[in-house]
Amino acid sequence: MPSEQQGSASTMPTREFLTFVLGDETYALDIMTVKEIRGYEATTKIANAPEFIKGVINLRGDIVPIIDLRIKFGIGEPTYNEWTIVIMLNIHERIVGIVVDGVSDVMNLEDEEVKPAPEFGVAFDSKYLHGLATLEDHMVIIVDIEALISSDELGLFETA
Amino acid sequence: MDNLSQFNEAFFEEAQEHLETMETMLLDYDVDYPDIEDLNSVFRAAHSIKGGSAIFGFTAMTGLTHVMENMLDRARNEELSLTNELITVLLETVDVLKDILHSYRNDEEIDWDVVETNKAILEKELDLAMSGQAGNDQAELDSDVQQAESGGKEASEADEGFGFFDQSYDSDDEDGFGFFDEDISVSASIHSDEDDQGFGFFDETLDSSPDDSNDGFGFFDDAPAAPTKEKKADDDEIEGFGFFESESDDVNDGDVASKDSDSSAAKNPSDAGAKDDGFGFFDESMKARHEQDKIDDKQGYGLYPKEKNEPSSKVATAPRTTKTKPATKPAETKSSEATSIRVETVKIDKLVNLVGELVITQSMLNLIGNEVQESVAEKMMGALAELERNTREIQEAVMSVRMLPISFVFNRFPRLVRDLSVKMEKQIELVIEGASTEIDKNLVEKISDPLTHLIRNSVDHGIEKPDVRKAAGKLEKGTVRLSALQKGGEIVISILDDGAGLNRERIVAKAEEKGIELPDPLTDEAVWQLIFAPGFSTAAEVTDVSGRGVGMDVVRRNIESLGGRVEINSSEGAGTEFVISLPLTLAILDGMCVEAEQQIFVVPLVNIVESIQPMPEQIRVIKGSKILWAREEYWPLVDIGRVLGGRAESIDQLDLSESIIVLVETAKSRFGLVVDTLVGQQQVVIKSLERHYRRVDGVAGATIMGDGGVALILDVDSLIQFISSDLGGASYAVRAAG
Repeated sequence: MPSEQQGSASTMPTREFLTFVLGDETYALDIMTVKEIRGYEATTKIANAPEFIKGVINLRGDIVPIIDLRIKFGIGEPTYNEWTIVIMLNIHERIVGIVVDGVSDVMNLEDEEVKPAPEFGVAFDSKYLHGLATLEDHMVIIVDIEALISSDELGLFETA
Repeated sequence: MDNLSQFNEAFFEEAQEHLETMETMLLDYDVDYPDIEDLNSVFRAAHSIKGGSAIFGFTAMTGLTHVMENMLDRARNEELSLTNELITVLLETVDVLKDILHSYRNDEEIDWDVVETNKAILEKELDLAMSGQAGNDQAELDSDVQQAESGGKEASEADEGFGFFDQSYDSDDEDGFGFFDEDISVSASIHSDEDDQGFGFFDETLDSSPDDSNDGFGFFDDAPAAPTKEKKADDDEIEGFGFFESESDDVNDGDVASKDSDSSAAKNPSDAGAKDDGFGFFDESMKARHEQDKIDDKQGYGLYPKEKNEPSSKVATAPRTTKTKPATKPAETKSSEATSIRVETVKIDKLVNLVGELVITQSMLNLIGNEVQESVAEKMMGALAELERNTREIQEAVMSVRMLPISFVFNRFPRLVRDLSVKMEKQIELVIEGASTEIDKNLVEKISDPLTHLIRNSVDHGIEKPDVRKAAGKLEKGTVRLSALQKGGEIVISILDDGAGLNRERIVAKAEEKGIELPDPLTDEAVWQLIFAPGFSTAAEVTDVSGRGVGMDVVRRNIESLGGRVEINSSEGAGTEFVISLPLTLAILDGMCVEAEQQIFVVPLVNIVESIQPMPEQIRVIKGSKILWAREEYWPLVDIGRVLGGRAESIDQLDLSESIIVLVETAKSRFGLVVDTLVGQQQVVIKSLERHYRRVDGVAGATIMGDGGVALILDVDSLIQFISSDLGGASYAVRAAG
């Protein structure tokens, strides 16, 4: 029961996903939410913010928060080097950057290819997941990135 | 007719302005010493709206402004004296017109009931006021009123009729549209000749002089325009205009109308058919009116061109008039039009953003410039200095575009106070000072609601009823003084009333009753601030003016969200003053860059008193907390490296002799910021942190530095919570400030 493509712009049966790597696992998110992909750069720390909020950067005049999902979900090692990648997302007219270990591919998925997510075994709470898919014998975890980024758990957005 | 919509927009803007003019003029109107010039202005404004709304088919406005016009016309001809009641009715009409305008603008449904009701009231008042006047006036008034009514009700006809205008505008030169303003001024100037020709159209009805009717065309009568018309005689539309010329030549000729229509028809045979529907109304309805012909009356007021029986080519000439007038009357138009233009705010905002980027780029270049090799370094520095100066000038110029006189906000208050004082049976005078003080446009919009609330509050709770005031030995008429002035980097707005003042006991009692925590010590200042607590209201009964207690906390929140603050001074029996301090602009800030824990922070320059490197003996330890002795005072300390930079140790474990302490001051407190070094003074562009993230305690926003990095701007007021000493924290700071 892939939860209905909540907030997705596309009504096509096939949707495009950007896959990225966190630790040993491959994740995917709806490519329509991706603004751009860039290298990691030093951030300005924000006082009294949780550790996974790395700080803010200047994205062509916008002050944009950068969060490290590896820290938030305890996946992989939070290292920062020239290969560290930040995916800039457009969520509810806000821009948020997420730090990942790498970006691998763009995949097309039909709705029926998406299997329901298990209740356990994944670092993310299942309410942030669309489901699972298989790509060349790899399991890909499809993240409901809008739900995740705007969740109270991340506390990125002030709940009005 | 897409291209018509742009004219609609122009009309809306114009009508809005006219309505505001009317409101201001009516408010200033002194019933005892009427100023005919003011009345003329109001009349002209009403007339402009009438003309404009008719052409664009906004019939709801046309009918209403017409009746208004009738009343005003009688008033300025001194046939009727405007009483305060009449002014109130007129002001209400202005409100209704504003609503209608708003509805049209947003494609909303027109509330015809309100329109008709208001018109009926207006007519009744006019009737009443005129009933004492000569009998034949009355008769005419009736027919007049009736006409106006039918005009309003036959909206569909009107639409039909004016559809014609629309089309003609479409095919004609669109420049014609400016004409509302133009012919008004023309007619006014003519009228001032004490000559009935000017507004003959309206005057006739009143004077009931039968052979005047033709002079109705005096409306378009524009002698100075004549030469231009002739110059453009090859234009066939313009030729039609020639008819005005002939009229202006023999203004008092009773045959003008027929002569006109003849001549214009002759000059414009091809257009004659099409133009029938148009301005025939000017003479037709006039005649109808004079003959007291009920049937004709039902055709509606002249503006609704029901009478199509008399061919005349006046319609097409109307837009022409407009076209020629600006050229022929430069003196009149220049003063208002040449000095300002309308610009969409989004364009200005974009400009401001771009300039912000430019400033950042310029700082980046400066950094790079420092690394340039010897040979060109000097030239480079020269050019960079030039660039810096130009950038700063552009920035200042662009920022000044956004500045508006605060009168944009203040102007609505005379009306508010007048309405409220009538409603509450109080006598109140509103004195406005410093209305020309300039303030950022964004602030203008946002400060309006809080100010409205505070003024309502002063009128409702502050000023007492006349008998109470008299008993207290005060003038029966209370005064509310609204003033604005620029003080350093701040705008200070004060609302001062000479009312009863705040009642300390009642506030404290009320706060206790509502379970609001009382501050300690309970200074007057602290007590006054209690009224800003959510849910607080001391009004004995809730009126529809104020007293629900939802407002004051919102007022303070709104003002604080603008980076401002509210203070209250009050003295029992003598009055209350609310003082609002606001930053001049929301976009740019003069700041001191400081470094703490390898991070740059910007301290707003307005808050800084002094920066010092403390001597060991200046640091005292009280109750285990470090505190600074400087300027003959104790200063609590806030350690920026700890509270915002993430350093683990508190300053109590550090040697402060290497640190810099920036002494800061806000309305509420004084304290010292402990930082590592001063980096330098800089103007920074304020960027919102909340746009993509959220509010952070102690941080007002962020800015982009010359190297492209982000620095946080400190919010000095909210840093109070981080005061490290346990000496009563904020309240200690307040005492220190006192």
